[in-house]
Amino acid sequence: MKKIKFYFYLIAALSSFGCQTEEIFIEAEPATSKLVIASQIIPGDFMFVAVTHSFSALVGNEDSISTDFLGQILVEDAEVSLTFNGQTVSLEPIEDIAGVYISAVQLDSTVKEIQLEVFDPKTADRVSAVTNILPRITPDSVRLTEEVISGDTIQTLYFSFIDPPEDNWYVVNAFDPGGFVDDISSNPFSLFQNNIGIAYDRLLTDQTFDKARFERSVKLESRIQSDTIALFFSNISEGYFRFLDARQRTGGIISSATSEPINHPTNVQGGLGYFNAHNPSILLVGKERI
Amino acid sequence: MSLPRALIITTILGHFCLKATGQDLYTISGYITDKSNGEVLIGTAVYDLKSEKGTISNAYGFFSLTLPADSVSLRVSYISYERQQLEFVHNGPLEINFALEEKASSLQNIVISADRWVIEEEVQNTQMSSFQFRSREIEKIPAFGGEVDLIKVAQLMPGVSKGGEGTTGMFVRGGTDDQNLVLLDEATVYNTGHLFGFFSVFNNDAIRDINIIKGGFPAHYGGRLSSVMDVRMKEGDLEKWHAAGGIGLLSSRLTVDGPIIKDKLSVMVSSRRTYIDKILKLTGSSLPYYFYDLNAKLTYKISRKDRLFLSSYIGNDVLRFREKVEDESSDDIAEDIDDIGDELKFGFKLGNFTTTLRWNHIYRRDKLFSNVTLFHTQFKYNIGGTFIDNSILIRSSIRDLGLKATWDYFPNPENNIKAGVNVTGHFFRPNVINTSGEISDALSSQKGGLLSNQDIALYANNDRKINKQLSLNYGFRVSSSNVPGNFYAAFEPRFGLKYSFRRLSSIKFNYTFMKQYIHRVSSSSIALPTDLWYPVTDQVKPQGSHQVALGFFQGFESLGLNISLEGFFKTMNKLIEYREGARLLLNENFEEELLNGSGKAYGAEVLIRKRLGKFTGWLGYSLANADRTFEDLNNGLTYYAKYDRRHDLSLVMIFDINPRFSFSSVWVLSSGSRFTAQNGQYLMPNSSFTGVELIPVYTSRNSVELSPTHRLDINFILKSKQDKKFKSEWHFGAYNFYNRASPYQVRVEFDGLNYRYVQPGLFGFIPSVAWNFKF
Repeated sequence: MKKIKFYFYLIAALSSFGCQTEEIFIEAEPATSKLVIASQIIPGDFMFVAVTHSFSALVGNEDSISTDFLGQILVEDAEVSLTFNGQTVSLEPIEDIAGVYISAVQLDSTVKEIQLEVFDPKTADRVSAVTNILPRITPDSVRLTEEVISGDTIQTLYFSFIDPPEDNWYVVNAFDPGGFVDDISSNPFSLFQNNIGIAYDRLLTDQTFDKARFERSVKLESRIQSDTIALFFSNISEGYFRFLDARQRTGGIISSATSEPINHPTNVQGGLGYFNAHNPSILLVGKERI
Repeated sequence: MSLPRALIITTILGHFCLKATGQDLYTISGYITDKSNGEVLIGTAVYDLKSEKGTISNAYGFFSLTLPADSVSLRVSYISYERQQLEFVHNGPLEINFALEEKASSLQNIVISADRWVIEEEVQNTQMSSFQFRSREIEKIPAFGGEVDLIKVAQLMPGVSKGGEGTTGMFVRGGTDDQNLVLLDEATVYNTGHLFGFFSVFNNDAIRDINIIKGGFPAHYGGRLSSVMDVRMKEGDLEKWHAAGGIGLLSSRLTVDGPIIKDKLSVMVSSRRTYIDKILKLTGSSLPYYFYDLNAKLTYKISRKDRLFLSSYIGNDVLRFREKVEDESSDDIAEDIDDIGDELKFGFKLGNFTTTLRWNHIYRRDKLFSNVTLFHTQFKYNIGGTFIDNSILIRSSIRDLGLKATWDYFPNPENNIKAGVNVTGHFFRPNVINTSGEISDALSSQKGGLLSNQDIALYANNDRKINKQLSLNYGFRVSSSNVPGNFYAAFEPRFGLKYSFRRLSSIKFNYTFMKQYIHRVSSSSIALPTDLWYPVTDQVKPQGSHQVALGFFQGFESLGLNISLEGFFKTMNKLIEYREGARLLLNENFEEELLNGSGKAYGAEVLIRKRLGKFTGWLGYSLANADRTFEDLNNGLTYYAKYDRRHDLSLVMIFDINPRFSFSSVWVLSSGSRFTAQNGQYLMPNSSFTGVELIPVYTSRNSVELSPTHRLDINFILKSKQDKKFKSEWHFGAYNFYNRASPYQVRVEFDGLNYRYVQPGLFGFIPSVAWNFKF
């Protein structure tokens, strides 16, 4: 027994001689900086477009990117224009929100297709993109119930809508508007600026629906503290659905470690991001306690 | 003329060509074994010096040589064994069993004539693109952590590329890891690695020999595109009891074999278990992980003409983690350990279980030998955990049940015909999930569904000597797979040619077409033991490959070495990859994530192998290219395969300094593997515009080549006096002797000032010591 113990100690001692190797540096070609487009139609049927620059992976990560650096990648003096129904309009920068541009002209229901042109005079980068405006679809019923079962509070979101006959793709977001209930309908950026957490975030494709009226009842993953829930419901293009789907597939620690690397799809010629013109239905619904 | 017809006609002609001379023909047959332990010797040359005709023993050590009635001078030789020569008048059927004795000293630097025949045999054999090892050869080679590992030895041969550092993944001639057919006593082994692939499941003490084929596949092998690794377990000695074992840095081993009924029934039992868990417990730490293997084999000699073998292997990786978790929300002071919070349990168990029952029979006239194998193999994993009121159990399994029947027919010394049938039922149960508690909201239970398919293959092959210069090896395999809703079938021709323009020089050519009806669905970025094996389905079609190879072979008798230079070209179609951004973990609909594409590989390989004398070893080098084209990957552009290593060199040297002291070293140099690196990023608002997310930008697929890697491993063996019954030896070794990183990924790291790309290596200098014994 003594010999065996001695042998175990010998093994443990030998193991401690193991060395760690020094890492080897490698030069990898950094990605070329490109203009990045994000867009949406906001309440009042105005188009807003955010323009930024992509940057090297060697700048840092979400935790380490500084506000100063963010200031460098926001494109402040870009020439942004939209062409639709034979007319071209320029977008104006929004005060206090650098890199974000908004159209002064409303996009009414006669607009079916929009072309975007962006030029950054500082870098001479130019990008363009085309997208279709899809009809707004509004859920016909939305409820949020709250019940206490065995000491646990369970919140259930229910919503339903009529899916039109053509192929459609949707994004549904629900969140706690907190103290911004009054601002949401007029200024959805109030949420953006205050970084409000999402309680429910799903992509839907009607290829999986078995009937025209779609109904869903889901337990919320994070709790709505206030008495109201805000639901954003958008009919989106297939391309934007693919973009968001890629993000959902690869986002999060586990997914990013175990999923295949993916370069997100883009419809921006010469750039990155996605130019889309979805027009969300925004619904504010009171909480029902059961 | 179709190939099957040509085969039948050639066979019949071959059978009768000697009859036409009008001479009486008689068959000499028997088994060839190692005298010291009764193990059969595969590939032993049996040669009549007078008629200059010969044959070699088959996979069961059986030989059959039909010669005209005449005086015969029969020579039996096997590498590193004393040759035997027998002269007699051959005037009737004769059964002779040869028990060869290992050379008293293999340290002579002079290569004796018996071994010269072995040098010649390698040149004259029609088989190319293959290697054979005996377990005794492997045990001298330096091993990672002192664990002798035959797969890592195979990785040192040209054309066999390793995967990640220290792992048992094999990428043969541009293929993928799941394109290797790994057989243990004829049962398929689906998971070849322990501890996430860092150690192979093969305990060298239980292994007799290994045959690796990377091209020119004989027709009785099929079902995989890139290679066959045929591993045979030791048989118990029918005469004497033996024991062998060892204590190493990571594991201990014990093997016992001997006769239960002398000369009738023998048994071999071999086991191995790691004790990382026990060692750490001594130091006060806890890592409740271990793996174990158990090999067992019964050999029953029913009669001169019948033998039965029952062999089994079971091996598992086990983790059982259990911890009390303090309840931080409680203000009460716990009075007993059981009152402290809830218990966290997590664990997994995964492993293989194989069983084969084989029956060898020699038919009347001793020209026909049959082997019938019933086999069962299973690989399954269970991962489970409980915490407070939540529990999760994930299971997945693949099980095969099947029958193989093969007949070896030796009509005359010019023809060696093999034909047979192989029927396998595959049963898959992927991704069974049971959850309870709150976790079931995030991950719902799923049954996983039972999938099954049935593979049937018929094959025939003839190894034909046309004359002293020219030999052909031709055959076919008709394979099929019956899956719900579809039936796949393929005709797979096999052809090989050898032309020798001198006794010790030849050129060889082969062509093979292979089909694969099962594949492993795994990520390219991370290797998990939970990667799923999955059959072809209505949507996922069988993979196929065409391969041609041309080689030059030269033997040097006086030096005891063989040199081969081979070139190959391989195309592969219906290869499987995940689509970009595919979700791999617990995805019930992963079939929708699969893409079909094609690949090609080509290259040149050099092997200089010295198997005789004091100084043995080999130099292997390959210059190769492997790429893939998938319509929906990399914008449809062709990209390099992940383990496309342009240059791969291995130098293995074993030097028996004296009968009690040996030194060996392995030096490897290879180009880095390929990697898809993140080289950019951008910010995008999320879908509800309530925040922003950082989106990565990647290089094109596998476009970054990691830095070249080189590594030196060494091993010293000190043996006890060899004339004693109890023999022991100490192994002192070191892995990665000069502590050089073998990059396995590119990562962004902050050095205090800037971010930069670095390539970490997994293992640095690791010393090892092991003590082995036998009596």
